[in-house]
Amino acid sequence: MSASENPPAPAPREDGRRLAISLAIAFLAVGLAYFAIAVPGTWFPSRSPLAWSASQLSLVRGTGSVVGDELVVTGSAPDGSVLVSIETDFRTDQYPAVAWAAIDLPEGASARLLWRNDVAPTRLNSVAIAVESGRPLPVALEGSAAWIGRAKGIALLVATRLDRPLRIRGVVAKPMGMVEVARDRASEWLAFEPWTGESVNKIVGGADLQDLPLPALVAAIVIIAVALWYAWTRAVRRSLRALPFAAVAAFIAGWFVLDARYMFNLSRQVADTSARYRGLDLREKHLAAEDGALFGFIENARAVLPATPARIFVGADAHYFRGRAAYHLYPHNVFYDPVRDAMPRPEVLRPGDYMLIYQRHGTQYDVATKRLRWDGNAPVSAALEASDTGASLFRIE
Amino acid sequence: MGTAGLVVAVGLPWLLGIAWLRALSQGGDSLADPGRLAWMLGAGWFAGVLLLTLLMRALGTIGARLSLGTIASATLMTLAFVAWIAWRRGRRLKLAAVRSSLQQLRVTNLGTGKRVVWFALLGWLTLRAALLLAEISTRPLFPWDAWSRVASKARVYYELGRVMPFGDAERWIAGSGSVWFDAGPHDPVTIPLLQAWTAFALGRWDDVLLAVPWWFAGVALALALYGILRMAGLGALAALAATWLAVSLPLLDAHVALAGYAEIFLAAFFLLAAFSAVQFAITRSRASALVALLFACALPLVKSSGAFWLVALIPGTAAALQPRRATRIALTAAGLVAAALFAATRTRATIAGIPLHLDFAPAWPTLVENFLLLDNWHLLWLGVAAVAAMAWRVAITAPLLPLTLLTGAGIAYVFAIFAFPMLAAWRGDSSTMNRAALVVAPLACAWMALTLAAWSDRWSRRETPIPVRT
Repeated sequence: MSASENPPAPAPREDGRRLAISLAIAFLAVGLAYFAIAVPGTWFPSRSPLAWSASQLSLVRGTGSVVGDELVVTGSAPDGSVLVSIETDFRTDQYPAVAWAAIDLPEGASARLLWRNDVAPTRLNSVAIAVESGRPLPVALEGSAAWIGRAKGIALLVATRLDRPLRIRGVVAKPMGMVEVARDRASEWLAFEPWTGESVNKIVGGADLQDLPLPALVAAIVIIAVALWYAWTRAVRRSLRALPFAAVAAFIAGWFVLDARYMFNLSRQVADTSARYRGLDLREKHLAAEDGALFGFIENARAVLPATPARIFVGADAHYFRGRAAYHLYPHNVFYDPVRDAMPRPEVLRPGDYMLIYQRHGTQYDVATKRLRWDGNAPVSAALEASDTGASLFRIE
Repeated sequence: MGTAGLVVAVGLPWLLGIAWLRALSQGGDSLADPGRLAWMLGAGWFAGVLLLTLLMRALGTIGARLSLGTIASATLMTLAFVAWIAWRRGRRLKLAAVRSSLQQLRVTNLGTGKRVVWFALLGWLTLRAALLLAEISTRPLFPWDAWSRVASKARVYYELGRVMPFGDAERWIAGSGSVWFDAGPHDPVTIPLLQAWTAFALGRWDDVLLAVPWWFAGVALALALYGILRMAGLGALAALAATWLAVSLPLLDAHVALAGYAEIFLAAFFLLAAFSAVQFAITRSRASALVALLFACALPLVKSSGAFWLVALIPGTAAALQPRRATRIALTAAGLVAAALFAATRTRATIAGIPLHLDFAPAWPTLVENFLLLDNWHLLWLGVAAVAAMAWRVAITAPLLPLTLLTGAGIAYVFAIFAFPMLAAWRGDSSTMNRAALVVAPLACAWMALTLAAWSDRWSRRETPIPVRT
């Protein structure tokens, strides 16, 4: 395992110039090829996007009002849906994309774009809208058979019950020229990707859903640039000695582009973390964390627990809360099911054991008789030691 | 006790590891040699962490109560003993050599343009390190397994001052309070012990500062890799660039920033074990065998699946030890693995409740997405594939074949995890393919850099300038 002490012969300036031009040509070629595929109509449309603000929207289903420049939808309709509409009148062939500006859609929400056209005005058309980080993504409609004639009204339907207020800033019909497509891709690449539970397994590199992932684009440019350099160098009958230099330089340049994007995201993450935790002591940090309410309850529960480790069973609907409750309870001798929402059989419990319940259905406690039962099992005698909203600590008697 | 505790938590194992490596270094080794100091600092951190946790295990085994006093005393005594061995063997740390090594950072032998790139790269790496330190020293323990399988044990060890046994549900229920439980009761205790040690040194359970050793692991990995590449003959700028490639991998950075997982330690030990094995094949000394053995044994001690990584070291190490039979060893190893996997697809037998049967079920779109489309790896796997395609003839020449086999075996193992998803049951670990690939990624960066350098050298000699007609 040894490498040459001598670095490769320095590439002549001419080789470097050819590589720079090759990279530029590859960048343009890949970009133009992508636009040829992705731009639905003319590349430089003469029309500007059509935009409607929150004050022009009608809340057909759900409850809410316009606050500032946002339509704040505070609740779903009785059927669990939210419908927001706007009267429109534009040629669909000139505006092949529609983008709703909204935030705080529920996780995994089902959202659809609805519209009517003047060709079949009685027919209501719809298409699914992808939701990412609580935001609806732009919808490209150029392939839709119903996106014809003039659009006579468009609407946003959210079929999932809201878990927090939904804020809608407006909607834009886009002509989707080259500049807009490029802007959309850039916004996907530069979208803030905060740490999630999946970050130790997967780094997306910007928005969760991307029409053109940046690593693939950069890889294509690097490969084409090196191939161009090779072909060009052969064509002008120059030495290919600098091929390693050209390949490594193009590769490093591509890597740096990706790394610069990553560092930009990391710096935003650091700022985000700092805004949340800076200046807080350890206890305050835990109270400010995702499971702050749980930590607060465990803090109260620990005050009534014995100093020596006690056996504690933890139950919660969500496995995240089961695990986190156990984590905050150590070094007590905690037991929980890390995978399923399963509680122990009553006969496993012994007097002196504890049971901590956090946001779990199917658990009942009769204060008068001091009887605790769960999942239809026979009740056991237990004393309520601490409680809070949706949280209780029992000592088995 | 915050900062002082952190200095003790990081400094004591680091000193122990450096002293141990120095004691086992070769007679002719000088810290002034290119990369030697970086190697010692980087590998020293990981050796120290392993030795410290082994001492904690030993204290636990003899029934001693774990505390800052007992652990620090045992570590200091071991440090004194190791330093004495180093002194006896004439391996003293010479300040002049250290100073000379540090002066190499000024790279006065490089031209102006390359020096600009060198300092720009150093600045970029420093900025990254600063951002990661700011992140991990602010956020409480965040990633799932870190609090459900690792820190859970560490908290119990720290608060009770003993390495308490952890068992599965049946054992816990039958144990009447003598056995503890968490989401990974059978996981090795090395990483929890490192966290417990940090808490002892801090004097409190602080699951923000517990993460700081992971930042040092990232820095030490960078130092070790740079040292390895310099010692293997790569120039300073090329070695630094390859180090940047390795430590800029987004998934690796995530494992530094979201501290608490074992993968970064596994990756470092795999790299160090691979390099030390090759070094041992060259020197054939007992001292270098001990170094290689420690790093190799660290793999299963850090994570259950480390045993498989240990097996992945065998073909490359055998090829390094038997260079004349290297090709035969490579072909035999590949044949054995292929035959074992094929046999597993044909059997329905089980051993100790673990089914031996494997289904070949590769999810190609997932592979493409994770390795080429998402930004887990920047362009790493494109680079590895390109180097393999362009420089394969160089990669299988005698000097590089062991390293090629070590890297190839690691990649083959990752591919096996991807192609045979049921392998997770064998490994006792359901880590994703990306987390498995993270283990081999730093070594893959080293292989890519060294193979490219050798190929570039050969290519430059082969390609003669074409006369220009005037």
